[in-house]
Order: sequence, then C-alpha cells, then structure tokens
Amino acid sequence: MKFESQLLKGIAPVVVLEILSRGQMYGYELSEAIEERSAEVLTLGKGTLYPLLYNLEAKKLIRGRWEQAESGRKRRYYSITGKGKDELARQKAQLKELTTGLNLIFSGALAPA
Amino acid sequence: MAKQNKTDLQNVPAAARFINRVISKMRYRRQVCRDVRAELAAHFEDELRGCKTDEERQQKALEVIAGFGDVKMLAVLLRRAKKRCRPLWRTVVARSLQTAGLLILCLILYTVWFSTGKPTISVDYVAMLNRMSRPEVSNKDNALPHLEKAASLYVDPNQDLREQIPAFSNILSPEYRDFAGLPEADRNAITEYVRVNEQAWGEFVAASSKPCCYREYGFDPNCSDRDKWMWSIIVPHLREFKGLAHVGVWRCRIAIARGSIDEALNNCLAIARNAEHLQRLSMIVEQLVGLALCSLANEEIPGTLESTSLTAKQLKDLQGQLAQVYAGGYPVMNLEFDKMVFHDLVQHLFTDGGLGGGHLIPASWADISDDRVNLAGDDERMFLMPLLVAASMVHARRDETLEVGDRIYDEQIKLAKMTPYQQKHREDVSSADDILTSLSSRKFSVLHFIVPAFDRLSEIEFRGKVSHQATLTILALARWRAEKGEYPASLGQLTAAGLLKDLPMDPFSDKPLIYRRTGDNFILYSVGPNFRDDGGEPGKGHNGCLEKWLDNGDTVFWPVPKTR
Repeated sequence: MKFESQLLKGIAPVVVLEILSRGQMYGYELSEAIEERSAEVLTLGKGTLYPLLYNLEAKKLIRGRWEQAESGRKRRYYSITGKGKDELARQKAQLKELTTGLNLIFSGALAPA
Repeated sequence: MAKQNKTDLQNVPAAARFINRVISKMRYRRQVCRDVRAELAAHFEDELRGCKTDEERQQKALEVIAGFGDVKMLAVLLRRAKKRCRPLWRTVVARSLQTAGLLILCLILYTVWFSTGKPTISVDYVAMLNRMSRPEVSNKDNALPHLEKAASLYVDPNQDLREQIPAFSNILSPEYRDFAGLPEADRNAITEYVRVNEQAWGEFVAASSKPCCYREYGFDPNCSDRDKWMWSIIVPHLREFKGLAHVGVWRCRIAIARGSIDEALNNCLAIARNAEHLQRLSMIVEQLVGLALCSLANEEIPGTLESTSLTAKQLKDLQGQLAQVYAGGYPVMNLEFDKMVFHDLVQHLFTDGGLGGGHLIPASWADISDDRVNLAGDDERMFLMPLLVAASMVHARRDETLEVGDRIYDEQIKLAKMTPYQQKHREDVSSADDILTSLSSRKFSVLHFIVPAFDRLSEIEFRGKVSHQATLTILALARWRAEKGEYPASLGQLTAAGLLKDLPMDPFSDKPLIYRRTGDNFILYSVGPNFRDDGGEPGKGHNGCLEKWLDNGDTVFWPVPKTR
C-alpha cells in the first residue's frame, strides 16, 4: 500500500533524518533506502526528494557535500547535523506520543502485529 | 561535475532534455543551477545503471521523468529551497540590490512623470489685465495712441552727437540750463534735434491734452501661442518717451532764451501731464518712466523760475495747471500687474493638482530661464536638463510658492503706501527683500528669479510726490512775494491765505518740508534719505557734485543748486 502524498509529506522530513542518522547517503541512495526499509510502504516522489533535501539543508538539519563515490563518480552526499539529530529526537518523541494516542483511540488496533 | 554527467546522459536525450528544462525554468544563480544539474544527472545515471539496452534506458528514463512530476513545479520548488539555503549576507545583499533597483526604477518613473508635466492654463491674465486697466472712457480720450505715434516719429541723437555734445547726456546739469550761454555748435545741434522732432513733439503735446491713458496689452505679432503669457508682454517705446521729454526740456530752454516764457512753461506742463499718464499705466517699468518724466518736469520748472521773472498771474496759472495734473491724487505705485504676472507665471511653470497643488515643470523653467540667462543651443539645454529636473524636484510646490509669492506682493503693496519714514519705523511689515532674503534660494528659486527688486521702489514714488509738492510750494512762495514783496515767515501762511492747498509733507520725516527765509531768498528742503536735518546742506556725490536724494545731506528744492 502506498501512502497518500499529503500524509507522507508530513512525516517525510523525519523519515529522511532517521535514514541519514544511520549514515551519509546521496539522493538516489536515500530514496531507495526509504522504500527498502519501509518494505515499499513509503515512497518519496523524486519531485519531492530534492526540494526536501535542500529545505533540510537550509534549516541546517543536514549537510550536503560533493564526494567521489567508490565507482569513481561524484555524488552529493547528505549527512545529519547535530541540530538535525536534536530535531529528529524531538520529532520521534512526538510521533511516539501520536502513536500512543492513536492506539488508544483505535483500541490497540494500530499496534504492530 | 555537470559536464561529466551530461556526457553520461548523451544516449538518453529525454533525460538530458528534462534536466535542461528544469534548470532553465529554475532561473537562479549559475553556480546553484550547475550543482542541481549535476545532482539530477547523477540521479538519472543511478536509476539507469541496471538497464542493458538503449531502448530499456529510454523507457526507464521516461518512468523517472514521470516520477519527478511537473517540470515547472519542480523548478519552482528547487529554486525556493535553494534560495533558503543561501547565507544571510547573500540574502541581505540580494534584498538590498533589489530594493535599490526598485528605488532606481521608481525614481526613473517619477522623473519621467515629473519631466513630462504640463501646465493647465485656466485664467487669461492678459485679458483680465486689459479689462481692469481700461477706464470707462471713449478711445478718443486715450493719450496712448498719440504717445505711440510721437515715439514712432521720434529721432534720437546718434552716438557721435552725444559724444560731441555732452548736454544731450547731461541734460539736468545746471551748466546746460542756459541755452543762450551754450557754445554755438551745441546750440545748433540741439536746435536741429528739436527741429527734426517737431512732429513728434506735436503728438506728445496732443497726448498731454487727453484726460486719460490706457494701454491694450498684447504680444509681439510673431509670438507663438506657446509664448503668449504675461512674461512676454511687450511694452514698446519707453526709451522714446524719455527722449521726447528731453525734447520738451530743450524746447523750454530755447523758448526762455527767446523770451517766450509761456511757451517754455507749456512745454514743462506737457511733460508733467504725460508723466502722470505713464504713472497711471499698469506695469512698474511704465510707472518708473512716468516718475522719471515727473522728476524732469519738477526740476525744470524751478529752474525756469530762477532764470526768469514771472508775473503773479503767470505764477498762479502755472501753479493751478500743475496742481491740476495730479488733481485725482498722486498715484501710488501699482503692483497689482506684477502680482498678476506672478500668478500667470505660476500657472505656466507649475502643473495643476496633485501633491502640494502641482510641481515645477523643468521644461517651462528652462524656457523662462532662457529669457534671462540665454541657455543658448539645444545641446546646452539637454546638458542642463538633469540639473533643471533636480532643481524642480527640490523646489517648493505650487501652493506654497503661490502663498509665499502672494505674501511678498501683499506686503509690498502695503509698503508702497507707506512713506520712507513710516517704513523705517515699521514694526509689523516686512519688505519683499526681507522675505526673499529669508527664503531658501533652492526651494524658492522661481521667486528669487522673478520677483522684481522692490527695494526703494516706494521711496522713488514718494520722491516724485514730494518733488511735485515742492514745485507747487515754490510757485506759491513766488506768488506771495510777487504780491507782498517778501517771502512769508512760514509755509502755514501760504495755506492760510489759500495760495497752497496743503502743506508739502516730507516723506523722510513725516513733517512738512523745512522752509526758512534767507535774506531776500528762502530755502526749501527735505531731510532726505538719511532722515536727518543737515541744516539744508545738500548731499554730494562721489565727484563732489551736489545731488538730490543722497544720504550724506539734505535734498534742497530751492534755491536750485548751481552745480551738480
């Protein structure tokens, strides 16, 4: 099942920060990682991905820099900043509270099987 | 980086085209666009890496393009996001440049609007002036046609003659008063001068017999409609009027030399009557010429009295006729015309409406400046135009200019009615010069440029008035002596006896002129512009000559000074 785009847009920044908190990645790699790690439940549109990365960079939550990849190609790698980690922790806490609240409303039906 | 990826996508034209379109629509800084292009190209390469054939690559590229969505939207989102990425200093610089650019654009638009302003001509001041200045009399009672004809017939002594015969240029010098005593060559030249102006003098005398004088003001026939404003009104023949008065003076002196006293006095009276005609006209310059003629007549009559012996009847007739010249009262300097000129100038120089009632129009300002300072060719004018635009922008707006200008004229009209003595002791009236001096020359350059030099204007008027009264008093004193054998002890005796209607008032003391018997003669004088009684000691000019209205002595009307 693919998420509605508006719903995904709300959590996309947290998802990107979470993925990048595990190591630096370039755009394509990141979009693949999101799909793979969410078992293809979450898909970030290509048209959303790069503007989102630039916005997070503008907020200084991530940092981008050009590096030579192992294949010899140049890629722009993004990594999470200290400020990004703080923001991620804050967002995760909020998501946890949101999930708890939703579980209560849906009588635990939203809890992972 | 961009070049490297561009090369890799050469076999996938759809991807390359897509990236080009995104970048072109981003319309952002070159460096940023280069980075975005490289990153998008790298993304496509990664997406296409697993494709084996060109066909497969093309297919996959189209899928990726579809995944990116609308090109325009993507470009907008990328630009916005990249803009947020730029450092603060760059944002500040960009915003400052944008603001400066906007301001410059606004300034350019404002300047264009400002420079192309047009005046709104709503009042025909020339027609208004002609309506106001025309008395309710028939045309045949107007002296001006005769004066103009006289002026057109007048022949001026040429420059050579003026240099040979100094009497032409120094007509009021006492040494030239006795015509019979002049060298023969001078007498011949003057007689010839009078002869060639016989016909002109006839018209001048005809004008003096008319009861009034008015002028239909107008423009030069060659004047374009654009130049038809009061500033361009022509007032011809003023120089000739003064020349004709000189003809009259010489005629008077020649008549005395021949013993024709009545003819001599009639010539003086003709000058005095035409002086009054010109003083009643509207323009200051005409009134000043009238005052000059008045002064000439009032110099010549006492001079005639001194050199001849008149009977009591002759004196009475002369006094009566001279008094009749200003029977309606001595005219006050009329500044209403100049005030109208000012209003007309404002309506031609300023736009009508908007902030402050309108603004100064640079092109019109250049036109009027051209009249005075001759800006010469179009090139020079083009060069000066930015300066004129700037000067017009800092100039006071229409309403404020009108308000200050009206104040200047109103105060001056008030001052024109005050004697020099009253002006000296005034407390609540500022002169035009006082007001003008207090005004910024940049903000009120129009006023500084066009308001005439009012300084001493009313003083000149009062000088004319007291000279006229002094002449009447001298005639009354001569009558008294002719009847009683000696001069009276005081001027009051003249009024008491009905020989003089009013005591002659000195405008420099606001008291009667000072009169004293001196043996078999008398002295009659004004304290003059120094407002101080110097005991009847006349003022002396730079070369030691005795002159009237100097501030180093009194102005003596009688006895007539022997040297100047």
